[in-house]
Parts: sequence; structure tokens; C-alpha cells
Amino acid sequence: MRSASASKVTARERALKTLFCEPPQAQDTASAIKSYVLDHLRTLLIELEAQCLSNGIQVHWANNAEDANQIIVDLCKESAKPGDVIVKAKSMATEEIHLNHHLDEAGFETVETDLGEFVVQIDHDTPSHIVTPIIHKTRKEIAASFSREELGPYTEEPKELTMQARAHLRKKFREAKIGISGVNFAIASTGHLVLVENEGNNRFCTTAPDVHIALMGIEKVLPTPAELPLFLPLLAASATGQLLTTYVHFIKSPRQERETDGPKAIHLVILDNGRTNVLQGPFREILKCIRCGACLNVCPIYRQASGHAYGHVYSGPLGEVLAPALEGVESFGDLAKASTLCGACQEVCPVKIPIPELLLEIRHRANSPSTSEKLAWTSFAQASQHPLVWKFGLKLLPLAPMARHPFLTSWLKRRTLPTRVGRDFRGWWNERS
Amino acid sequence: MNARETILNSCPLGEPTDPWPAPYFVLPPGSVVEAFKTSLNLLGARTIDENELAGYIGPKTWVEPNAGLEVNALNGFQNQVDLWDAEVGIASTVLAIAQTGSVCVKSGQGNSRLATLAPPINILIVHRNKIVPSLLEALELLPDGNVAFITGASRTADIEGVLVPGIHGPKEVLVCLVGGEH
Amino acid sequence: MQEVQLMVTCLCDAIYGEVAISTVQVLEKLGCKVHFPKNQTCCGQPPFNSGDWENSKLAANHCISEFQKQDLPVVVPSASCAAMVREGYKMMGLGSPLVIYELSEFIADKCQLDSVKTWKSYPHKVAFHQACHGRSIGLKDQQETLLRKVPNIQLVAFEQAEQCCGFGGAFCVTHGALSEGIGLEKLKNIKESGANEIVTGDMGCAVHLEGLIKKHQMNLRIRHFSEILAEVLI
Repeated sequence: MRSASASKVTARERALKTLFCEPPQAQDTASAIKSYVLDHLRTLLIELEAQCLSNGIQVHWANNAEDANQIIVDLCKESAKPGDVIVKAKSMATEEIHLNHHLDEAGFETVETDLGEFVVQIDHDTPSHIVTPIIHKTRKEIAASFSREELGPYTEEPKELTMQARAHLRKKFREAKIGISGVNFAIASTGHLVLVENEGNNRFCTTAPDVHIALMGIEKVLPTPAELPLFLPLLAASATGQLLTTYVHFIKSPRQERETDGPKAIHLVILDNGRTNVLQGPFREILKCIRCGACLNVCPIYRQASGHAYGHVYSGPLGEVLAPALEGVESFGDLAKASTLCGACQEVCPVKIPIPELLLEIRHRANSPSTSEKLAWTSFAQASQHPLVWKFGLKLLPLAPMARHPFLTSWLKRRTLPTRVGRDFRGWWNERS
Repeated sequence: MNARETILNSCPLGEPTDPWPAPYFVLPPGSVVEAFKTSLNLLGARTIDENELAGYIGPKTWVEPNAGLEVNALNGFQNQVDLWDAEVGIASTVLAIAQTGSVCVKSGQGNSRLATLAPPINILIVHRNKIVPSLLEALELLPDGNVAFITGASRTADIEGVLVPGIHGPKEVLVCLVGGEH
Repeated sequence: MQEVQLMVTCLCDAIYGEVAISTVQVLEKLGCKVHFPKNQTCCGQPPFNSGDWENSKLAANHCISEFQKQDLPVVVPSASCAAMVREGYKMMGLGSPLVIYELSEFIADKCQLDSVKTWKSYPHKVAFHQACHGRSIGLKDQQETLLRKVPNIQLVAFEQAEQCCGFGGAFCVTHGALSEGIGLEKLKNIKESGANEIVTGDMGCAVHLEGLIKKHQMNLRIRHFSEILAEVLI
């Protein structure tokens, strides 16, 4: 898994250099555009809504996950009955609101159609990466799942497994009454819903069924199509090292008179779910995120721990900020501690989100140290204000293990106690002057 | 207050700001046709001529009406197969992008979205004079309606990072170049 | 003659005295007069990074007042401490009260390295580990560039060189297992490169890696780049 993340890192750099004369300038511009979006969100959303309506796309607004689920389930009930197939394309927003659970409860057969998400679904697992959901699974595990689900003869060959999934999911696309997707970019000036993907399942979900429901966070809007020559390749390069994803869909309207396929109705559900709070607070920069996953791929903690360790649908550096930002530093503030603040995430971020700074800000606001930690910092601060105490403390360092502080216990479990090698600086300085 | 108003009232209206600087793209060297071919090769797609295209015509081939008008070999071809069951899909395109090896397809007026998606082999007909250098030009010329950019074959690398083409859409994408350059 | 104040850093004050001594020697060889404010303690970074800004401010204010006694730039052999003074203080609302340079940054920007005519040879296989906190002060390859000037030094490339060592301050004890895993990965990659010495610019990385090296009885030595410069600059 670590090598998979690492190879994406170098592919990302290669793709960016192939595309842009100066990749950092492209990142800065993308960041500036996203700042503009956040600063003008009301104007842009009103424009988007008007354009969508005039194009024939119906627009719904949801304050929170509960409302969004209700809206989507109600829409599904209008065009499908219990037992009918609903095909889903990969979408972090639907993961965020746990939509599948609600669709299942309403009796629909919800089918995840992205290969990774499909495996996650049949295994009753959760995705461990926002772009490559089953990076934590081996081909053997997947082979066992496919054979259990009777998708075909047992094989561990990725190619054959993929073809078994193709055949199975193709039937579902043909049967499906409703397709559900996310949105990568929604264009305010034209009303285009722009969706990117590599597999083609998104295209099936938004083409074959009679109804398409798209769920987007309020921050996904962009002013005009002129921003896309920057954002589309930046997203592809940052996510997988491609110049462009295999498919970029520009969905403008339900099926028109001269079209032979495509949904007869399109619903756009615009989701807040904590975002307007984040917008007004100190973590607003995280709303620039375009969900590329580059920060996960470079993160030493993510590489070591894998996505499940974070306990939230958003993992990695992005999740360490977004989870507490959306759900409160009280409940998810501790996630921000799972970082060495190395800054690799900020460096690769296509929209230059200052993740380490946001993590520090969250740690400060959560400020939920254990008693032993608080004691450590209080004594530390006291000593640091009294040079004599400080110098005396330094001399006592070899006796530190006697303190039995949890920090030291944890240190000594894995490392030896640091010992002074060579001369003492203060002694040396005093002698020469 | 309904959800729409609650959300919009919590979002800033914003002031007009200066335009942002356009990023500079690395443009492919040489002619756009050659650059387009190079990009296609990097994607594992390749170009074919009209003769080779003729070899793909058969009872399980599905040809878009517009594509039939553009290539002599397809003239008068009658589809005998349901698009869902076709083995080869032949479709026309409205634009192509040299920088990325992408084509732009537009739904409607004889063009179907499934034609470039359902059959395992997809042949895209591209006019040489419709190839633009980069995404910049492609977005400027973006046709109205429901359109898509297609860049190579459908693919996944979800299983242990192994790249496998054809997870849902075409396993193989071929491009037939027609017409002269500008 | 340039005059500077040395910020010694907690770790050099407590454990790595030789690094601070080397830093003074290098600065002096490059023609600087070094002052050492004796009442300095810590910049306040450890509690700051842990979210305890109240306690951090106590340390930071002491640091500011000690270094403001003389109107001279501060030089510190740690990008991490430099980042704290430059960026952390701003975040806590303390502004930018001190002019501070990380050592290699100061040498590149303010010193005439050409003034040193002879360099001794340093015939060792060295793996250079770039400390991550340099990113937040915009440090590029100043440290590596300095090392490349050293005659006969052999800088070896190793896998995932750009990745963090896993120290992360309190992280190394609050998330001990992760920190250890990342650190051992780093040491494994370095071992495989054939290097027998790690050179870095931050003793935070060093104290963590050295603790692991000794625990696992690996044959690796870890040094600060200033120690090598102090040896080779004549």
C-alpha cells in the first residue's frame, strides 16, 4: 500500500510538469479562484440555481445530512418502488451523509458501481481512501469476496476480477431506475454539472436510468467554464497522475427532444451539512478542497496507518481538518493530533490549503490535553520563564525516567533515552569568554 | 426560513475582484495532429485509417447515423444490433484535444451517449481540422448541450494498483482521423 | 563584521551541545561575531504544537524579551525553531518581534562562503535528511547545497527521501507506534542506500531517529550539518 501511494506521488509531479509551465503558479491560481468562490458563494449559488432551472434541472437545498437523505429518498420513491435497482457513482458527499443506509432502509437495491466502492459494499466495509477506496485490500481478499458473491469462477487475476465486476454491474445499469452521483464542479454561468471519472460507471449512472440525482456540497461551484482548463487537469494530475481523467461529463439538461438516451429528469441536491459554519470560521480554507487525495498519498501518517484509522469518511490530512471542522473540534479535534506537521500535504495540495496551520488552529481550539500533558506544558512554561530553574532542569535530565510521565514511558518503550554526547554548550561558552 | 434561504443567507455575496492570472500551459510541439497522435499512443489508444475501420464492420457493429455520413465505408450501414449488445461502437466527435489525446462527444441529433460507452470496442471518428491544441481552446469551443470528453479507454486500478482497461466502458479505443488539416 | 545572537535550542542546550558549539564555530569562521543571551530558554514550540497556546505564550514572551535586549538578528541551527518564531508567533497574535534565520539560510543569504579558501576533505557516505519544518519558512536546498561543497563527501540518494522521519514533537509519544513505524521506515531506506551517517539540520529528527537507532542497535551515526562544516572549514 505504501508503494502504491508513493508511485502516485511521482506520477503526479510528472503530470503537472507536462501540463503547466510552472505548476506552483497553477496551484496558486487555483487557490485564488477557490477563494473567490468562497467569498462570492451566495452570488454563485443563486446564478447556478437559475441556470440549472432554465436548463430543466430541478434544484433542491438541504441544510444537513438528514434533510438531504429525506429529499433523495423521496425523489427515489417518486420514480422507483422497493426492490428496484438504484445505481450509484462514487461520491464522497453521499458517503458523508451515509445515503446508502437510508436507501436500503427504504427498500431499494442500491448498487455501488465504482469497482472499489462495489467491493466495499459487498464486504460491508468502508472506503479507506477518497480516490482509491480499496487500497487496503489485497487481490486475494477481493477474489474471496467475488467468489462468495458468485460473480464468477475463483480467480486472483485483477483483469479477470475486473471483467467479472463488469458483467455483473452491466446488468445493474440496464435494470436501474435511478442513478445517483456526486458533482466535481458545478458551473454557475452555464449550469453545467461537471463530473470526472476513469471507469465509465459515472457515465452509465447518468445515462442509462430515467432519473439522475446529483448531490453536491455548496463549495463545489465554479464561476465559469473558463476555470476548467485549470481545474480539470489539476484534479486529474493530483489524484492519479493523469493529464485528464478518462471521462469528463458536462451535464447540462435532461434528455432533449433530439437525444436518444440520457435521464428524463435531473435533480441537483445542494448540501450544506456544516459547510456554512466552516465558511464563517477559522477553518474556511478547507472548503477549497477538490477531493483529489494527493494529501493522503504523501502523508507519512496515512501511509503508515491507512484510512480506516481515522474513524471518519474523510481520512488523511484532509480528514484531520474537515472532520473536526464539519462536526466540531469537541468530537473530532483529536484527529488533528495525528500529524507530525511535516507540511508535505500543503506542498502537494492543488489549491494550496495550509493544512498544518489549520491543524495547529484546531489543536488550539480543541485544547483537550490529558492531565499529564497539561502538567507537562505548565511545568515546561514555568521553567522556560526562569532561566535558573531551566538550567537546573537540564542538569536533572538524566533522572527523567524517575518522573514516570506517560510521555517518557511511551518514548522509552520504543527508543533509548537520549544521552549527552560530547561537551555541554553553556560550559564551553562560559570557559571561552 | 426554508433550507435555500438559510444556506444562501449564511454565504457571502462578495465584492467584485481583479481577475486571476491565467496559468501557462505547456503546449505540444509541432502540428496538432501529430501531437494528438502522440498523446493517444501514450494512452494506449491508436489511430486507424478508413480501410482498417472497414474491417470492424459486421452484424454486431453499431454505427451512429452521423458517423455513417463521414466515412464512405459506413455509408448506408444499417444497425442490426441493440446498442447494449453491440461489440463495436462507431461514433462521431465534435472536437479533439492534442495536449491530452481527448475527444469531445455531444449527445443528440443522431449521437448517443451509450455508443461511446456500452460496446467493448469504440471507434471515434475525428476530423483533423477539429483538433485543438489544449483544454483552453476546447473549453472555449465547448458545444452546447450534454457533452463529454473521453480520454482513452475506461480504466481502473482499484485492485492492488494494477491498471485494467474496460471496467465499464470500452476496453479499446481507436481513433479514425478523417479530412484534411486546416 | 556581522553580529548575530545564537538561539541554542532546547535540544542542543540539553543534549547536543556539540551542535551549538559547531554552529558558533562555523559562524565565526565566516566572519561573524556571535552573542549568546544566557537567559534564553525555549521558543515555546512544544506546547504550541500541542494546542496549549497559553503556556506557549509564556515561553514565547520570555524568549522575545531575552532576544530583544540586543537589536541583532537571531541565528538558530533548527528550521523548526525558526518556523515557530516566524510563523507560530504570528498565529498566536505575537506578531514578528524577532528577525530570525535558520543557520543554512543565514549562511546562504548573509555570508560569503567563498571567503573560506580551504575546505578539508570529509570522505564519508552520508544520507542527508531534510527536516520538514523547513517547508514553513520556505527553506529549499540550502543545507544540501552546503554539504555538496564539502570535498569528497558522498551524498547518497535513498528511497522516499522527502518523507518525514515521524518525530513530530509530542506526536512521537502521543502516537508512539505510528511515529516508530515511520522512523524505522526512514532508517530502513537509509540503511539500504549504504550510508553509514545521517546528516540533518534539525536535532528534533535526530533525537527521535537516534533513539530508534540505539534501541535497534543499528550501525548508523547521526550528525547536524554544522558539525561537518565546523570540521571542514579551515
